[in-house]
Amino acid sequence: MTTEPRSFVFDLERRGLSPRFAFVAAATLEAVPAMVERAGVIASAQRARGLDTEGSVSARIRGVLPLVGPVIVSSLTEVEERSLALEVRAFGRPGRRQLLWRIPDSRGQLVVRVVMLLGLAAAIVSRLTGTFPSLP
Amino acid sequence: MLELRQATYRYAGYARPVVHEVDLRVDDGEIVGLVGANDSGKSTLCLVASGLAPASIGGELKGTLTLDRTPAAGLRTYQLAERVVIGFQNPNTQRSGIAATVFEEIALGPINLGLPVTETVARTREAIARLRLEPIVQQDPQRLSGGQSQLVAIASLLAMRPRHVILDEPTAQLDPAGTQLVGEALHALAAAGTSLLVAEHKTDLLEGLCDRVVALDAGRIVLDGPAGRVLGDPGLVALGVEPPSHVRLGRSAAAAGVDPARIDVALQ
Repeated sequence: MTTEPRSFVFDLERRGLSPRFAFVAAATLEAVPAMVERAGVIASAQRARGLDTEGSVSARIRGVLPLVGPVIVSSLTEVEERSLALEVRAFGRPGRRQLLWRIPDSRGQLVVRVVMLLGLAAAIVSRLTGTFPSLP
Repeated sequence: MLELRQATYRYAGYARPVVHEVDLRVDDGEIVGLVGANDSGKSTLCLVASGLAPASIGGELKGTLTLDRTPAAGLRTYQLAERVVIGFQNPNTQRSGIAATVFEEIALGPINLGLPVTETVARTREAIARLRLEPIVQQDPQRLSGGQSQLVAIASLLAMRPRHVILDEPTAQLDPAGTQLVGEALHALAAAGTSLLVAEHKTDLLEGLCDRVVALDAGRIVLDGPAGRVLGDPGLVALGVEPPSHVRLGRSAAAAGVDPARIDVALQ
């Protein structure tokens, strides 16, 4: 992706998205690598105790099943402390926040956005009025 | 000033309270240490003193928590955050999970307070300097060692410029140098008038840090007094708390028939 997910989310907040929603969106994007890492640690721990995660496809699927529970449970047990730690830092306080990031929005990008929106409007109008050029 | 009066707290869904009739006052600029065995109610007492129990996690509190003469009852969690902060033992659960750099992580609290950007940056820089985190400000918070994470978690709290700070085993993952850094930062906070409550197993740290130490047993305060007196109390071991090293050394010496006074002289 050319746009970092975080930049996208924070720019949406700057444009009026609620900070709570922005956090959920950003944290979800960030949670994926953390979850993969956690699964890797749990898989290593299980392998060290004799879990077979190699071999045929069916053997590998059987090997993954014992990991699902611990990965999900360990993620959930931390939820309460995570939410407390966020509340300590005044998360959820009403009112606007002044973010440190200013996402550059060049003139070129603005022009492209406007052209695309106009194109979209033109396409909808032409489709509705039946003037959309049908492909042979 | 942070004051608990006759605080009895019961977690939601539990029949019996974990903290019983606690009277505890932490004055401005005072550092109070909290010791006790595992399961003695230290962490719960920290949560109660922070107001998050019951404001965030529910349960039932009898008695009162007062923060600078404001009763905490009825305050929302973000209103509490403007007055009191609490740090936990595990730094991994204290990361926001949305910051790309250590700087952004530490700045999150001030940003949430709705401060102007210049003020946010000033507070963040101050917290970074207090814990000497300059070398890692541009690093990814998810890629730090346990000790670095813990320092970042504490810096994130300091950036809120709280009037009251509660720390539940803040140095659990720190090496001696990191522990000393935290000690210095807490001294500086106290000198600026902040009241601090620090739960710790490391009694050597508490002895150098605290004005007063409180010992808990089964959710009740059983010892409360000047740090030297409580940490040297003969009953401390029975409570499951390891006394500071020089106290233990003195006792071993006495048991071996060596005059403890001579060891104190030698240590000095």
